Amino acid sequence: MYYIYAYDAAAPVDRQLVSISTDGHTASPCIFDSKTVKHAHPQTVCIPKGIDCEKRGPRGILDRLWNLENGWDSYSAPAPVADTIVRARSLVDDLLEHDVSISHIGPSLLGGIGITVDHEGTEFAVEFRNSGKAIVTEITADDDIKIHNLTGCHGPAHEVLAILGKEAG
Amino acid sequence: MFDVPGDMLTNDRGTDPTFAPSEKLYRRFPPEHYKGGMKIPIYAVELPDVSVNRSKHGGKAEYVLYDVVKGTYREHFGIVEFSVGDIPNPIPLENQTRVETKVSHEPELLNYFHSEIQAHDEVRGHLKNIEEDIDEEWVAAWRVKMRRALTVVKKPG
Repeated sequence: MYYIYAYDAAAPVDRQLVSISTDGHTASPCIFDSKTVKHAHPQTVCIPKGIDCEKRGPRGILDRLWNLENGWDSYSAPAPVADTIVRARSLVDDLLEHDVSISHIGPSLLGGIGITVDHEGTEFAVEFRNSGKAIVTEITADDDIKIHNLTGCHGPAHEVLAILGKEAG
Repeated sequence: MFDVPGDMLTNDRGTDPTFAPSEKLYRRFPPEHYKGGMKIPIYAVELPDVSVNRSKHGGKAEYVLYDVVKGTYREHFGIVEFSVGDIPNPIPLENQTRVETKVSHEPELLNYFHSEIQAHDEVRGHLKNIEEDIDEEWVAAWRVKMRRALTVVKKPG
């Protein structure tokens, strides 16, 4: 089940209303900055059900990242693009479904989204980059590092759960 | 013109290339990257080039909240500090050119203390795009070691 977010290309460029259509009715809990949406996707953007900009918790934090613009860090960090947010959102949903506790979600200074999971004394930083690259950096308490490149063959959740030593189920 | 403390103005002061290992450097960071009780996430650690303010010649931590590029005061941002001597130089993998990081004083009209942490190698010189130029292992090592050097001196908010 997906909400369809679409921008109105005929509206003024500075702030176009993004309409949301689902289950035969239209709602508008969020107005996204049109440049972000347009830049990310030429027509429409599909994002998983449950988007609510006012919501707290991992999903709410992630959903608010749609509003970031380039330079959000006050320097020159690129805003996460739509595809990156969608992939991160999918992973977050899957991790929560598998009772994986998420310590932090935030935008990456390299352009993209980072998700931190602390598991059995080890930190796992998942990073979806705007470039399409997806990486898990495993950091032990002694700061030893191991890099895992997510291949995407089985879906990021399957791979991340395997790295965490959990069954995808 | 954006109003900054008089101390920040470069005026006639020249560039000072000398950084002692004990000199403190400061950088502001956005609220999205702070959660009490946990380390700053590694994706919140910038790769070179990193804009910072130096402390030599009277640079204060709070001066980094003056965003002289965008002409705004970043009141809700946090501030981290670290010492020049703690800037990491991760060792690259085999068959890669050694990358050296160094600090360069780059004064701006409204911010004399502005400096940059840059990465250089002997073949390509100043590396402008670390993510593309350098192996992920280097990137991760840099971020983890850099994070270890950071102290939050002002929380966001």
